[in-house]
Amino acid sequence: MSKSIYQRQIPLFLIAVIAGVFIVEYFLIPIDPLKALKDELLAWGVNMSAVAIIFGQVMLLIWHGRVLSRAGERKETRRRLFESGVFVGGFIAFGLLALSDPKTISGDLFTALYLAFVMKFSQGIGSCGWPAQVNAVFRMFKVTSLETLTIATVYIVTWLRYLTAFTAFVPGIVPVVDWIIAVPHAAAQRAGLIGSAVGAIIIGIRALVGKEPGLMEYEVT
Amino acid sequence: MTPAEIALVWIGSAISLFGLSFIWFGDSIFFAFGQQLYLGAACAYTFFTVWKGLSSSAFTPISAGRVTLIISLIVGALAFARLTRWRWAARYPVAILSGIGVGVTFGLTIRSQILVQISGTLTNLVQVKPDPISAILILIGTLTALVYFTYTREHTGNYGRIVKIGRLFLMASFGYILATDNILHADGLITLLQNLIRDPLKSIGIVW
Amino acid sequence: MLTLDDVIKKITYKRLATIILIVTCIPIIFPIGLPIPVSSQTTDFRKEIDALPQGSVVAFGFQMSNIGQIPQYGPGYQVITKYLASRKLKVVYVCVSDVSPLTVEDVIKSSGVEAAYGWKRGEDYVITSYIAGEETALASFASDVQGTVAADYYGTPASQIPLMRGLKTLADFQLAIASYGTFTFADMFARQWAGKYPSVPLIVFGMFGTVAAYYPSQVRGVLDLDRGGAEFEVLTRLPGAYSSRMDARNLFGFTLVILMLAGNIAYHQTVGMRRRVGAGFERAFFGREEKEAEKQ
Repeated sequence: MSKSIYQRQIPLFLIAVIAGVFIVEYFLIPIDPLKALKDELLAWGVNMSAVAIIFGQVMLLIWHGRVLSRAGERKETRRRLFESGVFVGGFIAFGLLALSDPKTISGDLFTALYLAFVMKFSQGIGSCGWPAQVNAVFRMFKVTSLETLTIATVYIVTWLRYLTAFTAFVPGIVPVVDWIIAVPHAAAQRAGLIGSAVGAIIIGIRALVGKEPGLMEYEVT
Repeated sequence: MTPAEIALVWIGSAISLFGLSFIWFGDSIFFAFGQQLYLGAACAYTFFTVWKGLSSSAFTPISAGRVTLIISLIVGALAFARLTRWRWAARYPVAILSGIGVGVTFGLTIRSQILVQISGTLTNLVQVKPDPISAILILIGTLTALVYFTYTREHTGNYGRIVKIGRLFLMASFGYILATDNILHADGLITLLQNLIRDPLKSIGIVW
Repeated sequence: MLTLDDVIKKITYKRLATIILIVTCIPIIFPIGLPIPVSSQTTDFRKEIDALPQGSVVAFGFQMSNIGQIPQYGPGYQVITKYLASRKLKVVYVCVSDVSPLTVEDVIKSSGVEAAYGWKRGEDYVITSYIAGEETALASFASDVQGTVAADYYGTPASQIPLMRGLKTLADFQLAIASYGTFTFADMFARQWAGKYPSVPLIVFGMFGTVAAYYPSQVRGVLDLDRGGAEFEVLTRLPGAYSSRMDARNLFGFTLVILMLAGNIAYHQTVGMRRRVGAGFERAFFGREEKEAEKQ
């Protein structure tokens, strides 16, 4: 069997067949065998996605493990060794903590420590987005045309609507912003949704006829 | 609160400051420590949570007689072939997942993102909601913004004028989205500051 | 002569961040308690819940992009959970992100619904395990509940959970709530839940801008994150953390608007001057050209 058959043609054929099952089941009256096949495929999708996630975590462990294994050869910087060491240490510590409790990750101690360390750091780093936005608004948001005037006006008016100190004195701004949401924003969002939907349908049709290798090849180099 | 719980609150506050320190001190040693600890702990947590998920979606049904799901686990495990010389085998789980993804979204994309949107726009016009001018503006905005997204024709002349109107609607939408996104990040900062100011004080009995 | 442009150039990225940080701390330390206007999307959100008879089953689709969102969105989950419990509704928490089960556990514990409303796991609420696959997970749950959730998060088989009996597809639920931290999930919920099962009303706890095009046809009500949560606390009279945060937003918002206006005034001053006087404006007004020549 030629390489291109089992490395390319069969996977493309699988994409087409599986997508075809779902599309036929959706557009024709859903008959029991097709619905059962569709449900089975969805269950496969859930399981395979879960295994893919485990694969991702294993790759992370392999990468950090490789860095630490080269420590003796002095091929890594001290900073990188520190980072990989903390990663592996954290993995082992929390892993052992979970294993030591019959409830594993639902245990009280694990939950308390996980929320204290992981959630708090995630919250801290998640709160780092605002300076870049403030800086951009401050330095780069220049009104030089009708379009930039539109975006700036809507930006300011929307901000003011969501400030209680402003709406307490100017409640009339609430229906103004509600109108902006219901009319120009909804219109633009509808256009975006229709446009992206057309693109998705084209990709779907190309997948059905086996002409979309991008659906599988970008993952494998 | 027990001393251990109080200690955890203060340690948690310090850890969140490690994350926030990125703004002023960049990728410092404290930030790196917090980051890698977060990633390592999250990696361990993910193993357990995915295992529990597989217990529910795979192992329990398999033990109840649904043996076809074994095939999904075997095919899913082919992803690990990427670490071997049979890397091409990793295309199979990707292909199956892509096929499922395309199939699941195809019909419902047509329904939710095209038909419902078109019918919503026309319903506004027919029922004159929220008012006549707004209904017409919604139709004009949707059509002109759609015209903006067609790249097969140059945006010049009368066509360009239509595109310019569409861009105004898009700019209004971007202004709203930008503002609400800024508000979201502002709320994240506010939440963090509230936690940093109030929680440690609350743990030692000072209620703000 | 110091111009606004010069002042703005002195405000570096870090100084700007420090100013905003200090300004935001003030209303947290000295809260005011201003009234919060309630929007129609929040009223619609509540209306859909109020329309349900006691004992109705709600599918609560739970997605978060990272665990750091718990402090920000947690009060919203708590007030929704408390309200659902107060209306004697039953809830299946559909966890479609890996941090969702831990978050739901934390929400149930911190909201106190078990003590306050007598909620029992398995009879009044169920927490599913993490269902991987994003849109595939949503489609799988909606199409085949028993097949996707063969056991709950604690390993109890679905056949032994009273609440799960009789739930085959999403059509067997009386209401669906979607909450997400990753904005692409807005379209996924709209497609797989509201699009496929239009008979089941879908309401959303998420950024309103992401679902504006689906409202009110496919999405019947929206709680717009912190602001919507604060409004919901006011509407339902279930006090929570959100109301105090609305005050703190004021100084941040006003400062940002002032900074934006200042930036534009400074820009147009410089640009306007350049246009009026031409190439020699620096020399005429500020003597900058001479200073730059001196430096060289």
